[in-house]
Amino acid sequence: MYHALLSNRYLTSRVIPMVAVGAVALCVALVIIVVSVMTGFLNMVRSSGRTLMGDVIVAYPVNGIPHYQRLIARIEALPEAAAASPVVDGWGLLRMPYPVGTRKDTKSVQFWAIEPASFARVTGYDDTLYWRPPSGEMSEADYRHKLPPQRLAQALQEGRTLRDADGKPGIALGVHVSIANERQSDGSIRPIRPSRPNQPSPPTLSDFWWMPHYQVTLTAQPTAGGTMVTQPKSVIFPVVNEFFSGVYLIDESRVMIPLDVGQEMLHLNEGKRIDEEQLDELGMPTVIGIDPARATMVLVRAVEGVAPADLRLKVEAAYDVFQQELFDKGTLVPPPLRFGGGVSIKTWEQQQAKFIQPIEKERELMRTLFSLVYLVCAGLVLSIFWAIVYEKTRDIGILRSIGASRLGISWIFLRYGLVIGVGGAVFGLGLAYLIVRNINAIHGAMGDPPIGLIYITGGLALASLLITIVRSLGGRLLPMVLGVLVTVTLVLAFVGVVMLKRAGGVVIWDPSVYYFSEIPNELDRQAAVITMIGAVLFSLIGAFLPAAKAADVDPVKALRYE
Amino acid sequence: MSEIRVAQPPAPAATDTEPATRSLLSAVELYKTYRLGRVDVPVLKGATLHVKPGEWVAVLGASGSGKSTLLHLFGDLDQPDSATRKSEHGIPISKRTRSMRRGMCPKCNYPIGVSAVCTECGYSFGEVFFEGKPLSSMSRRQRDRYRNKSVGFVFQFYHLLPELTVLENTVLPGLVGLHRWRYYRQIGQLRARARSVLESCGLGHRLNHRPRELSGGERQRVAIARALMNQPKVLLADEPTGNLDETTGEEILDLVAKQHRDGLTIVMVTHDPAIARRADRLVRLHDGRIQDIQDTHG
Repeated sequence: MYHALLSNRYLTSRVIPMVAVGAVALCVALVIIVVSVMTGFLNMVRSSGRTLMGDVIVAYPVNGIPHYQRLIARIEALPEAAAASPVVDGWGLLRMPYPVGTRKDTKSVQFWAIEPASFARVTGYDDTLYWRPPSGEMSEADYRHKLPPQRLAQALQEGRTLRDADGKPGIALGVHVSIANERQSDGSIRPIRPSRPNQPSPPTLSDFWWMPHYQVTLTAQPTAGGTMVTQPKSVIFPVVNEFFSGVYLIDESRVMIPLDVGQEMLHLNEGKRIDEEQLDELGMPTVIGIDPARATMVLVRAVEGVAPADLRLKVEAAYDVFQQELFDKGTLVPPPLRFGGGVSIKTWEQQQAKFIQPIEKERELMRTLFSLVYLVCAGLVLSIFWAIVYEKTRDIGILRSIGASRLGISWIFLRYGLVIGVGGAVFGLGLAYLIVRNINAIHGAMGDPPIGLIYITGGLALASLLITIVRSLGGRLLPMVLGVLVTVTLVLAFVGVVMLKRAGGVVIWDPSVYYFSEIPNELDRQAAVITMIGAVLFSLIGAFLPAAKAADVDPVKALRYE
Repeated sequence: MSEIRVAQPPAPAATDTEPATRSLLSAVELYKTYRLGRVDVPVLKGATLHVKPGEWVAVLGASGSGKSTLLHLFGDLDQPDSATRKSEHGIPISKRTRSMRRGMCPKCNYPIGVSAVCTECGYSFGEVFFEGKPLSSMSRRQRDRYRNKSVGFVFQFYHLLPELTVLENTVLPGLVGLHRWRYYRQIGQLRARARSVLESCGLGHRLNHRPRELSGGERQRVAIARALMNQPKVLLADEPTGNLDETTGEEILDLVAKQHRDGLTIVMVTHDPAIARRADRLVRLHDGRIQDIQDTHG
C-alpha cells in the first residue's frame, strides 16, 4: 500500500505531474471535440435528409406525376410505408415586407407546395415550426418569451394548416429567408427592429420585422403546359409562421405554401384537356377529358424498423403497378414510365449521398490524424517519468533497502502513470463536454467578442505587468521570466480580442458553407470512451519504460547517488 | 574509555562453516570487485565475519576499505561476486543456486547443509548467512522480506523521503511489508507502533514535520526509528554519526546503545575508533579482509 502513498505524494508535491495531467487532458479534449463535431455534423446531414424528405422520394420534376393520389393510396397500402405526401416544388421570387418605404427587397426562393397534414406525418414539419408558445426547453433570453402566448399559439396553428385565421392560404418561411431574423448566441432567433423616427416606447409587434405579422408576395413562372407561353403568377400570402429545419441552405431559401395554390401557380392543378382541332357549335375547342392535378414529388415515410432501401424496392414495385394499371385503362394522361420516363425513386441517403459520403471519409481521416495525439500522450508521460525516476533514484534505493520489491517499485510509477492517464482523461472529457455543449456560444463570442472580454484581458495584462515588476525587484530571475511570459501572453490575448472586435469577429462555421446554421453540440459518447481508454493506455505505455528503469535501479548505486 | 584488547585470531576458512550456523549473521569468504571504467578494483578479498545474536560489532576501516560494501552485502542490497558472476570455480551460478537450495556441494554433491565450505572437497564460495541460511538460497520474495523484517538500515546521510512526514517515513517499512488485503485492519496498529518508536527516539513532537524541517540529529533519529519500525533482528548502521557534530553523534550512539541493551544485534561501520569503542566487539577491515578482531570489553 506504500505505492498509493508515494505515488500520491509524488503527484501532489510538484507541478510537473499537473502539467502532464493538463497536457493529456488537452489531447483528450482535442480528439473528443473534433470527432464529436464531425460525428454530429454527419448525423445532422443524415437526419436532416430524413426529417425534411422522409425515407423515400418519388420525383418527376417540372411536369409532375398525374393521378398522384392513386399512387399515394397504393403506397400507403404497403405494410412497409407509414405515410406518403404529395409535394409540388418550384422556384419563385418573394417580395419581402422590408425595408421601410416603397422599394422592398425581393428574394429568390424555392417553394414547396404541401398538404400540411400528410406532410407532417412524413416529415418533421410540425416540429420545425419556430413560432410557438414558450416551453421549458427555451432559454430565458429567447425572444418567444416576449411575444404574447396566444399570438404564438395562433401562429403555430396557422403554420400547421398553412391557412390564416380567415382561412386564406398562408406561407411559412424558412427562418433565414428573412434577413430580419438574427440568430442569437443561445441558438434562438430574434427579429431586428428597424430604425424609424419617433419610435413608440414600449415597442409593439409591428415595430419589429416579426414575419408572421406581415404579408409577402410570391411570384412563380409556370413551366408546365407544353409549348404555350405562360405568364408569371403572383400571389400575396400572409406569413403564418416560420420553420427552422437547422439546415441553413433550406432555412435560407425554402418557403411552404398550400398544395392547391402551388399547383395552380405552376399550372399543375386539375384542368380540362381540349382538342383545338375540334370546335364545338360556338367555335370553342372541344373538351376531350380531364387533365389531372399533378405533384412533382411524393415523399414516403417507412414504418419503424423498415430500412429505407427495402421500402424503396416496394415503392418501385407499387409505382410500376400504378403506372401499368392506368396505362391499361387507357387513361388520357397516364403516368410516365419509371425507366425512360424521367421518374426517379430514391432513398433519402441516395438523395443526400453527395453530402454524406465525403463527410464520412473526412471524419475517418480526422479520427486517424488526431489519434496521433495518443503518441504525444505516451511521449509526454515517458519524458516526465524518465525525469522523475532520475530524480527519485535515491528514493528507489531507500525503498529497496527497506524491503520494497522490484515489482513494487515499478508499480509506484505505473500507478503514477495510471493516475495521470485517468486524471487527464477525466479532465479532458469534462473540458470537451464544456466546449462541445457551448461550442455555438463560443463561436458566437468569437464572431462578436463581448466588450467585457477586452476589459478582462486588458486588466489581467496590466495586473500581471505590475506583479512582474514588483516581484522582479527581488532580483530573482525565475519569477521575472515567468511574469514576463504571462504578461506577454495576456497582452497578446488583449490585442487579439481588440483586433477581433475591430474586425467584427471571425466566423469559422459559416452556415452557407456547412449547410447547417448551428455547430453540432452533442458529445460523441463512443468516441469519448475510446479516446479516454486510449489516453489511459498510452499513458501507461509511456510509464512502462521509466517503471522498468526504476525496477532495475541498483540500490547501492542509488544510495550513493546524490 | 575501556582498553582495546586483541582477541583470538580468526579460525581458518575451512572451519568457518560451524560459526555460520551458530551466528545470527555471518559473512563467509566474501569477495567483491567493482569495475571502474576498464579497471577491476577488488574491495573485499575473502572477508569473513560472524555476528552473534545480541552482539554489537563495529567494523573499522579506512575510507574505501570496503566497510559499506560489507554492510550492503549483509543487508542484501548487493551480492558477493560468487552470486553475481555467471560461473564460480567453473560451476554455473544456476547450478550453484540449485545445489545450495538442496544443501549439497555444487562441486562434489556432498551434503554440506547451509555451509559455504565443503568439508569433503574444500570447495568454498562467498556467502552471507542469516540464522544459518545462505541469502543466495532464498527466493526474491524471501530476500525482500529479509530486508524488510530482519534487518534495519541506518545511513550516514539519513536517506529519508522528503515528500513524507516523519510519521510516514517511519511507518513506511511497515507499509512495505503489509499485504494490501490487511491494510485497513492493520494500518492503525502500524501508526501506533511508529508513534511509539518515534516517541522512544524523542521525536513525539515532530510527527507531522517534513525531513527538511528537522535538524541533522533529528533526521538521524527518524532514520533509526524507521529502521526499528519492523522490530528487526539486526541493525546495520553505516557511519550513523558521520554527518553529525560530536554532541549530536553521542546522542545518536546513546540511542543505538539503548536499543542494543534491549537485545538488538548491531553491525556498525565507522572509521572513528572512538565511536567503535562503544561496541562489544571491533573488527578491522584491511586489504579486503577482516584482519584482526578486538573485544572492546574484554
